[in-house]
Amino acid sequence: MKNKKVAAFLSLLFPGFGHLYIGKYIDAIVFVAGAGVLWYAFFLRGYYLMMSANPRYYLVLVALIFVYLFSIFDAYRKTK
Amino acid sequence: MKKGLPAKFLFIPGGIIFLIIVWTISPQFLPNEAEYKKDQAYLAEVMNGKLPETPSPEVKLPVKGYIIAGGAGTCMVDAAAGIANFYEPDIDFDTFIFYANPTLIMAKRDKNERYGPGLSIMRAFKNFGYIPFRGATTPIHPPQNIVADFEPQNLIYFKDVKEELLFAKKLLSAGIVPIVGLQHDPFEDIEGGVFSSLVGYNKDGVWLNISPQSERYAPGKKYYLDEPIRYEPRFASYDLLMKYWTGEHQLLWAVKSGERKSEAEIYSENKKNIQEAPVTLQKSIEFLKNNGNVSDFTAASQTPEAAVLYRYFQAKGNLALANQYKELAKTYESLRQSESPGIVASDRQKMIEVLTTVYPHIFKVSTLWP
Repeated sequence: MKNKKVAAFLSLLFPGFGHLYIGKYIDAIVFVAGAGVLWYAFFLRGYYLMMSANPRYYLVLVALIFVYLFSIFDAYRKTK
Repeated sequence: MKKGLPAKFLFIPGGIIFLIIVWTISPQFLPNEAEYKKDQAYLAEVMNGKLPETPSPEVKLPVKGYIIAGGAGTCMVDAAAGIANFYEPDIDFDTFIFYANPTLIMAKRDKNERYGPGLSIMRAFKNFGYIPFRGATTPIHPPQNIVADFEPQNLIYFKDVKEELLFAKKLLSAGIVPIVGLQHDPFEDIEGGVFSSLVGYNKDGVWLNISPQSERYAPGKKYYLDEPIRYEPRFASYDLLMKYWTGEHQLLWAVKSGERKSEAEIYSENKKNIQEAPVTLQKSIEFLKNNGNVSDFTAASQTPEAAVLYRYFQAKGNLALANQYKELAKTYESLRQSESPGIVASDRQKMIEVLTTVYPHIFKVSTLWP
């Protein structure tokens, strides 16, 4: 029996980790890859976009927040 | 068998990743008191005696900007050249460009060098004997290879835009003209950010020199060869300034500290750079073809450099080389589009096309410098 709060907390640490905990491996890969791509965009290009006032900087931030929240909610919901 | 990985195997790597992310990004979003105090103490020391305690009620300096007719993407050059001309009237637009690495093409030969055109307005100021500074309302500064001509200690953190605007007024009161980075032209509905010299203020607003981008300001002028024209600053309310001076509120300025390098010395540097340019240009093309990180590439408007060098060598009587630069300017112009840095990310192929097309011209001129 898996714990919903533990699943949610693990997803807070990094999206997809909660899904690894509950055995939803496909979901885990999707969330880990998605968050990984967004963090890559943020760290490697984010400052440049911010400096040139490119709206994509804010899109990346919003997308990251969305992925984290969705992962937490989804892991919590799917835990049995 | 239970599905899923045990929590204890996930807490440690998850916790480490989480802490690394928080540690890395927190300076972007949290004030840094220690950094602020350090920067302000240094600023007070280095500007000691140069600025008034209280700015004048109003200031309007007779600074005229330059406009390259029909141009786009040259706002920083236009603003900076106008400031240099105000400081030292014998520095016209062409002289400014000549001192700004017009022939340099970088190829990441050291950690502070990116790929692509190396024209740098702050390098021009340094060559004229000035020290450049950059202010912002964030303790996070650009990577050193993006601000390569600034000493790290001259990247200054202001706590908020009010403090920074007060400092800008003190600069103007002392006759020092800053450049502000705006996220949009306050006077024309043109997409993209713009750099403008801030040349005055009163109780209602500020005077800005923004290179007008409409053709109506220079009818009949050809971008690629005609000399830039001068224009007067325009007035913007404080509301308008604050609406567009957002993000990290970039503020650039330069302070005279030493002697100007001689023209002969600058000529030697430019000659060395152009002789290396065929190799570095090829490396830049390969970098773009291999999907190199866009932040490691500079997208600059090369037509002014080519036109300036055309006029330079024509005045020297070297018509063969002058005509080569004329052809180079025409080629750049035929390929030109708005080249704000953000466009490279979505138009990598365009930059590859531009650089590949001008390569034969660069190779030719590299062999002709006397």
